[in-house]
Amino acid sequence: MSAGPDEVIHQSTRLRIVSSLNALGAREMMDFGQLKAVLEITDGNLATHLAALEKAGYVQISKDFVGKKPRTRVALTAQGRRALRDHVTYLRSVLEGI
Amino acid sequence: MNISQREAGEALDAIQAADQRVMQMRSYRYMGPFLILWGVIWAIANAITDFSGAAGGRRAWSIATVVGIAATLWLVVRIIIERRKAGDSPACRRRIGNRFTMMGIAVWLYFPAMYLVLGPLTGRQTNAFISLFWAFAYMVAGAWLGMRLFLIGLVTAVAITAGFLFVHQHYPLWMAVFGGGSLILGGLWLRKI
Repeated sequence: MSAGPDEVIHQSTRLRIVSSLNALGAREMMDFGQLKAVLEITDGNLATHLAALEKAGYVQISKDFVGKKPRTRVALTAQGRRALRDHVTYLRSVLEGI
Repeated sequence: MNISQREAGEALDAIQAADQRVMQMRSYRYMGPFLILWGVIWAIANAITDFSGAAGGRRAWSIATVVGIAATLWLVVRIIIERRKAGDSPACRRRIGNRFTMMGIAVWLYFPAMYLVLGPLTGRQTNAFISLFWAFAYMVAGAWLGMRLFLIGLVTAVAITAGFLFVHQHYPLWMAVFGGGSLILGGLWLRKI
């Protein structure tokens, strides 16, 4: 039997955020705007959920400037990848009735 | 916190959907420059063929094909380098490299084989035949990668076929504008995500 569910990740929007970031390479980051387009949610909604994931240590948010334009990029941390992997293991065990 | 089997199934579906959406976005971003490149080549070589006749057209297509293949290889190498920087595993990068290699081999074997089977073709038929191959290839790729690519292939195929059937005197010019144009616009559309 695997460990229990991850309550931070299981919320549906956060689950989609973490899954999207997990599809990136280990050193790859996703632009805030791109992530918003992928998930089709509002700026405010995305920012709120990212803050919760950052607090849990699952994502890393980096802010810089490209020329004069501010840029926000997001990446999944190693801890976030592990948490998603464990959560998926748990979900599969529930589905298979283990 | 208790999760039912139905919730677990829905969560796993959501994870898979998010993964596929990112893959689609990445495929579009990588495919865009290829479409723009070959759209430009298609437009230029066809326009030269229309204005300078068969001999000039053959020379234009010979040069354009060499330039196109070299630029395609450069784009492939750029993708492999980008994936390495992104932290993809060597196995994943090898998979990408192998796919491009196998695709290249399939294309290079297909055209000579089809020429052998179909016999001598006119310049007009050759133009339509090669162009239609790519248009339908985009549609097939689109069935796996996303609707945008499918629609680009469909619009291009319709333009090529309509031109072949109804445009007689300036078919290369038609191909330059509608064949090349649809690829360029399609490539720009793919990048817009």
